[in-house]
Amino acid sequence: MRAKVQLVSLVALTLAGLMSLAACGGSSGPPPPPPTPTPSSNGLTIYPSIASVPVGGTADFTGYVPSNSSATITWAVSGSSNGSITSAGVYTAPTSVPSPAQVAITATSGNFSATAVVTVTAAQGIAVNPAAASVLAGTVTQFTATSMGAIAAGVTWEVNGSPGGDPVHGTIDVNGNYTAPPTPPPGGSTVVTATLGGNAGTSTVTVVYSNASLNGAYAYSYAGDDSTGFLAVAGNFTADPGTGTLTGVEDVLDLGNLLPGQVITGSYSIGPDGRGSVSLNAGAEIWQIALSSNQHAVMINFGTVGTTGTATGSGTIDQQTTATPVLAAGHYVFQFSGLDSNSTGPGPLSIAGEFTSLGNGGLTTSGNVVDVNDAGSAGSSSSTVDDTTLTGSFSLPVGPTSGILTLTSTDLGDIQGTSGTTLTFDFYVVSPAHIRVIETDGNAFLSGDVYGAPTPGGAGYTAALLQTGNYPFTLGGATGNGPYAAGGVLISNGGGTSPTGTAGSITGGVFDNNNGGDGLQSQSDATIKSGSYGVDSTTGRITLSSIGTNQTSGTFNLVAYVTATDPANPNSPAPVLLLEIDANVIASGPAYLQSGVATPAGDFALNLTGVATSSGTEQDILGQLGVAGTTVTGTIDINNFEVNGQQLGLNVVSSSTIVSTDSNGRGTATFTAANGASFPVAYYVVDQNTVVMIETDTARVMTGLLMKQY
Amino acid sequence: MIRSGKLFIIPLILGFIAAAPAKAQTSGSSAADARTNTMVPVYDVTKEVKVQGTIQKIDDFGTNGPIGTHIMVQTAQGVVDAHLGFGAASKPEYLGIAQGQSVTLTGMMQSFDGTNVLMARILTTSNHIFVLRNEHGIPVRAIPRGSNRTKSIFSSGFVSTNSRRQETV
Repeated sequence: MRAKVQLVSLVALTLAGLMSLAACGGSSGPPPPPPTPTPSSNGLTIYPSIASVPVGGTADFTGYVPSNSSATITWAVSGSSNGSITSAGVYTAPTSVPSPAQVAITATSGNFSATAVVTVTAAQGIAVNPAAASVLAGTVTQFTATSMGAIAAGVTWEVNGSPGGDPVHGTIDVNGNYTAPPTPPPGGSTVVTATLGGNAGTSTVTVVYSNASLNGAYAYSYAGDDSTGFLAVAGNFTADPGTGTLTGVEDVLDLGNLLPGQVITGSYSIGPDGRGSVSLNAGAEIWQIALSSNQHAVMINFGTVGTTGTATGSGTIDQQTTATPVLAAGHYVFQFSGLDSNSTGPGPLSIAGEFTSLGNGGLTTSGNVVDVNDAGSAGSSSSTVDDTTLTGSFSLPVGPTSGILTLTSTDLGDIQGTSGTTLTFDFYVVSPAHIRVIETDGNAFLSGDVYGAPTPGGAGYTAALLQTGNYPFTLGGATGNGPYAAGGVLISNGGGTSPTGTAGSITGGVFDNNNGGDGLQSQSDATIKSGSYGVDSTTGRITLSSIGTNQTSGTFNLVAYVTATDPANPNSPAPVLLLEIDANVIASGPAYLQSGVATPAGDFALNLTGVATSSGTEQDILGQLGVAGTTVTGTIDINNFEVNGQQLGLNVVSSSTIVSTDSNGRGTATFTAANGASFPVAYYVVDQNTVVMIETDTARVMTGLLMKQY
Repeated sequence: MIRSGKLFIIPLILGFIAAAPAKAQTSGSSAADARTNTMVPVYDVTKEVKVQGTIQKIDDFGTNGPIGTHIMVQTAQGVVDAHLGFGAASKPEYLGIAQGQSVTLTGMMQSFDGTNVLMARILTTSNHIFVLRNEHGIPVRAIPRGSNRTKSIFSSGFVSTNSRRQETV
């Protein structure tokens, strides 16, 4: 599904307007009702879902069944004088404008069907063919320009109004060879124009994802569950769209195995909606992925990994930036989560902190800090927080292999089951300022990320580090009740009238939580009414204290570490790494400085991850959603570890809906799949491209993410 | 650093314990905890009680209070609703408990919407002692020795959300 949701309302408006024009045209009697476009219904999608084609022109359509990408599509045109369509989906308009001018193109595959609408128009001064087309990202399509039936020589070709085009919308040469960009342009389509003298003709090009959208080197990581009770995987790969294959290296960590440096080879296939499948090592590891662009994707393990058999998990894939130096001298912050190795049974563990790299493989021996919450240790009387003994070292990767990071501190040695005070990690590079780490020493079972941090001013870090604004956030972890998720928006005053001091306030916001899915102790749309913060001028460690709401008398406490914008991904919001430091809640997650509160609109990649309360087992959800107004459509894939059941390509049914945001950027939505699984969420808008969320019902405890596609 | 593909030394198999408290469990009671999230229940080992009785009923998807495994224990003082935890590792089949079995439970009573539930920290059966929670009330996964670890039954039972999702655009 892509662009279809946006286009539904557009189609309705367009048809209404055209109907009026047709009536004004003096046709005798009321025309028959126009066809209703159903670009994605019953599990089949047509690209494009609307098109305008001059008389005698052609349009290239593509049909796609998300649950079966190789399904055979049958095409049909409404009416005997409305043109024709080939078995390959190439439509040819009639030589005169029919009445009405709207023609229904129907695609059918088994029990699935969908309809696109073509408006047949009068001839243009220059006829560009195809007059409408869906093209695969990264591929070349030949356009022709004719005038009075003859090839028009010397035309000027433009894409999106730019002669020759551009990298975002695609490029075109003097011969009309259009090269689509590697990912759909904003809005999902663009216009190719041919001009000659005072005449012009256009073609609307809908760009859909393809294997070319996953091209080159990427780093990835995910965490979840396998037969041992825990799974974390990190690695990198290089994708070759020419062969649809990828090769790479990964570390697999669970409670029974550490498999570092495992070679992975496999194949992949990306569908038009950005959802794709990856099969590694002859099916020993399977992923479903959903691209937001050719640079980023969300992913879930889809049923198996390595030698451990059945598995699940959620994570992300990011294009690698090979610039050096990695971990150059400067400040970095980190947050890892997983399990300890307590001899009485592993408990939930999260850590976060800050270190300064010397850039030469060493970390400074002072000015660093780590917070450890090992099954509640952060809030105990012998609290494992604010440990400034942290130091460590690193060695950079050679080629596609991993680098090695060690961290040493007193409180790291207090993690249940550890031997010594040093933890050792492999890491894979996303960019010089972002690495993905996975523990390799057997002390605990941690994975996470290290990010570059802002450089302090001359007076060190100040309250302005948590700059004035709204911070949507999610937290995931565990309480005494079981799995725990929280989300909301924290409003920082940036230090108020004293931004150069080290103290600030949380002046408001909103809060939701889901405590074990029991519905008894959960808050919904609560107003944050209290909270303060302090910044350590040396490390930038932020303590967020006594955050309270209007729905309970209680409060909670966090530490936060601010990341810097990654120069390799300047348009991505930089997370603030949160770690709860209370004794009875072990939770962590990201916050982001908000730059907009508008209700999501457009097409998004979706990931939800958490625990099903009926069994206590993990579920991971991947999808592609289209949001238009209050309507949500799309396709989701579910890995339900409870039954080791994977469900691919489930249609998001019409009862799915989204409620618009409030002034904090909070809204609610419900995504319901064709199998009846329903996911009610509270969501928090970061910007027009990013939304974080938690599930709010008793069926699951989950956190999630929407990433804008176009 | 372990760099081989061999099995770790798996502490998990030691989930069956000889009543030896973990390191942190010697660090003090929850009553002395420096920080708690008072929006959710706070576990306090100084308020623990010990009950002994016979399992009258097992509900492995109890909704009376916290979702998870509940057992109704007939004691001399009456029936106690005990919550054993959340997830597959608290399931009766893996704890080896059955109706009619004699058990001893140590935990703290909590009220959920007017219903009192024993949040069990330690479960003692005729031949096993299971630590179900730590001193902060956080569930740990007591895996009985010899349980079948080849099946996909154990769950971390918590929501894993490290901050790995940064580059979204």
